[in-house]
Amino acid sequence: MSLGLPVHLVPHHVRRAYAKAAHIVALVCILTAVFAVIAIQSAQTDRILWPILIAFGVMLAALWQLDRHRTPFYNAAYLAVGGACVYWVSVVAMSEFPGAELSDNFILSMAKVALIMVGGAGVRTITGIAWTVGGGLVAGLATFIATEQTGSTFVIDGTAVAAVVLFSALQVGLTLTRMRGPSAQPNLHRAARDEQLSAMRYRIEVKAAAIMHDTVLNHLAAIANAPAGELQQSLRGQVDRDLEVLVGEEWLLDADGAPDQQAHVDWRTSPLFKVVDESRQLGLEVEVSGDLAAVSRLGVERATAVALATKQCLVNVSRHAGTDRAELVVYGSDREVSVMVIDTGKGFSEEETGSDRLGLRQSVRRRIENVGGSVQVWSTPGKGTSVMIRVPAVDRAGTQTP
Amino acid sequence: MSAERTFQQLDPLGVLIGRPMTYLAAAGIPVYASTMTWFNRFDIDFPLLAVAALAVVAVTSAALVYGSSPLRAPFTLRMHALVSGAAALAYVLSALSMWRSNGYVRDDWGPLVIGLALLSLSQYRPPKEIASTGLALALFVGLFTLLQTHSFLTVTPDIVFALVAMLPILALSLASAAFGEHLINDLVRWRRRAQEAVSSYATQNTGWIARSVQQDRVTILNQEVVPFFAEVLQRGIISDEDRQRARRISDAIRVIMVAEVDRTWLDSIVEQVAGHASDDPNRLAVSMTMDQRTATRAAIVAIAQHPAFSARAFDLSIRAVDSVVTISVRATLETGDNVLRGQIAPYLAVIRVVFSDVKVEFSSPTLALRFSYEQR
Repeated sequence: MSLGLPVHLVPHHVRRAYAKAAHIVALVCILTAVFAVIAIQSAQTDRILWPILIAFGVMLAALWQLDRHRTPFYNAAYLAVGGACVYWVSVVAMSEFPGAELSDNFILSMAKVALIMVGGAGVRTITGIAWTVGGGLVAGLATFIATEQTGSTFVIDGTAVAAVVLFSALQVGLTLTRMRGPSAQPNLHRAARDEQLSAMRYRIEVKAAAIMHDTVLNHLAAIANAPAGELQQSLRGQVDRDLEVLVGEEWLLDADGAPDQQAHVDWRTSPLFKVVDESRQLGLEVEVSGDLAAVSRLGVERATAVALATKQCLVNVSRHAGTDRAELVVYGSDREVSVMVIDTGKGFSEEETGSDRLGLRQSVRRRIENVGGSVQVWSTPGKGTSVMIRVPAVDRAGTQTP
Repeated sequence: MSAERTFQQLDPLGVLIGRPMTYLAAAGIPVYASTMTWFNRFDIDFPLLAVAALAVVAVTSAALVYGSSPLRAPFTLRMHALVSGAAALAYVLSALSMWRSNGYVRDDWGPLVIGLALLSLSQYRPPKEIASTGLALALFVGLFTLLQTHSFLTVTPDIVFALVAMLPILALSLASAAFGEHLINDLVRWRRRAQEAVSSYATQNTGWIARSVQQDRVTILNQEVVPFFAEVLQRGIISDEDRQRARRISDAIRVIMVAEVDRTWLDSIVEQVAGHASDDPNRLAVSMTMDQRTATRAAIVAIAQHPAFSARAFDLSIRAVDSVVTISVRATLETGDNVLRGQIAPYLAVIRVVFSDVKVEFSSPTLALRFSYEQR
């Protein structure tokens, strides 16, 4: 996938991702310090270090809340609670190791770095850096007060300073690089939109071709093959209807724009039933069997496509198969509906059906593929033809399976 | 090609503009390692190993810069292995160089270099892969640290030394994975909404598209069919001449319709920019995914919008060998500048991500672009 975030959204997303990453660093620091305290406490049982674990527990809870609510209040609360925890950790450590220069001790450093990883609220980089530096200052102040109270020596913590510098620089870097607007991004978005329109146009063109084939071309063929003389009444009606509909109405809009609101159609009123009925009136004997109710699991668009494709199959039987009998079998499953048109006529080879190839190709195959279905044709010259039309069914919620 | 769940695969352009961060990391890592080596110079027992460690750090940085180049996108697993492997090797060499005299774990640069290298990969590799590598390397470094405790001056359980060494790797690799995962999730969520908006835009435009297509058809029908049908209806009689005329009109319309439904989306674009159709006799363009279509469309439009573009000398052909489809584009850009580094570069980066086996050459004035994909 090639579409990226629009430029105006990038700073917001990057800041949120940065805050998440910072909180992960804080979590790892706290957990590592906890393991270290447990290890030291286990080895040096004469010292009382376990109260430090309480402070880290409180800090973890504050961090969890901060990660869930990235607001100024929770950031400030984290610094306040975390600052108190750093103070508590410092006092316990310095009391248990009197005289040692502990203010940059590893466990204390981890507590301070966890505070520096406050993450910050808002979108602006300067605010984010202010929170980072604020975390460092609160941590430093908490340690300083603890050293004053316990009489220890205060030392600048190189690890904490390095963390402030590194993560401030990281935020500046992220902002500076993201500020360079990607001029190509809008063009990609435009290309994606054009592609959607192009796909939509193609679908409508295929539909138009199939409709043209079913109407104008079929009736031109009927005139070409009609005996010279008076125009038959039925043909007159069809040609009349062609002129009225194709020139006068918005036939494509109706065909494509109709949403699948009437999701369920019953067999007797289904488009497929009408097609079978029409074919019977034209003299073709159509034997229908199978799970006829399954057609009610087709949406309007697919039901229409299946009916029109079936109509073309039946027209092909009467015109080319050399038989006046066809069998239509409907199969249904939860996921799809299949309609099979079988005849025992002359059969054909799909590649040898003429250079125009429009009937089977447009009115059957592409029309069905256009609604997400598939068509399989088995034909043996001299033995007959079976056309299997398969389309996804509408699920119980009423949405079409893609 | 199989698309990995990386930010680079999802947003190649975003990664392209974020690339200076990779440069910064690549420059900062050797500077940091050299500085810390200088500060720890009195702990070094084997200077040659210390120098070798710094040389391998340089390899790590070079691999980062090389692998993240848009001309070589996407950043592969192999490049990740090289970056992580080199960083780990640099750590080992550095630790060996101070084997007898290393007093403190906290000032060792090796673990932080590994962590920073993994942090730099956040945009290029899948978050899970970065996290797994981080965990594995942290474990390795922890165990390796336990072998060095003989020289440490601090009195504390050995496991604490291991934790100190593991921490930068764990923290930065997991942060890197979290950063990448968050960006990916945000992007996927936004894209889902954008997709709905685009689809709804297309649906909203169905009306005028349908009317425009219908108008095209009606124009064709008005030329011969409508007058012919009207005449036949008026007369109510079919003559031999009518029958021949019906056949002729029918054949003519079929030819137009076959040509229209055979024209692919790519034909339409190439027609717009070059005035002729693409060379795609088997209609292979229709088997491209929507992403591939978008990337191809954007790249062609970008090439065509280049000031030096010559419409007459633009050709695009698509051929398939077995299941591999190859698209070859040849364009003429009358310029002495290297267009591969100019305004077309971002689109080529996108092409690299959604297609495989991309080859681009510009020998003024001919731009030759070839890319492939596996037909589904």
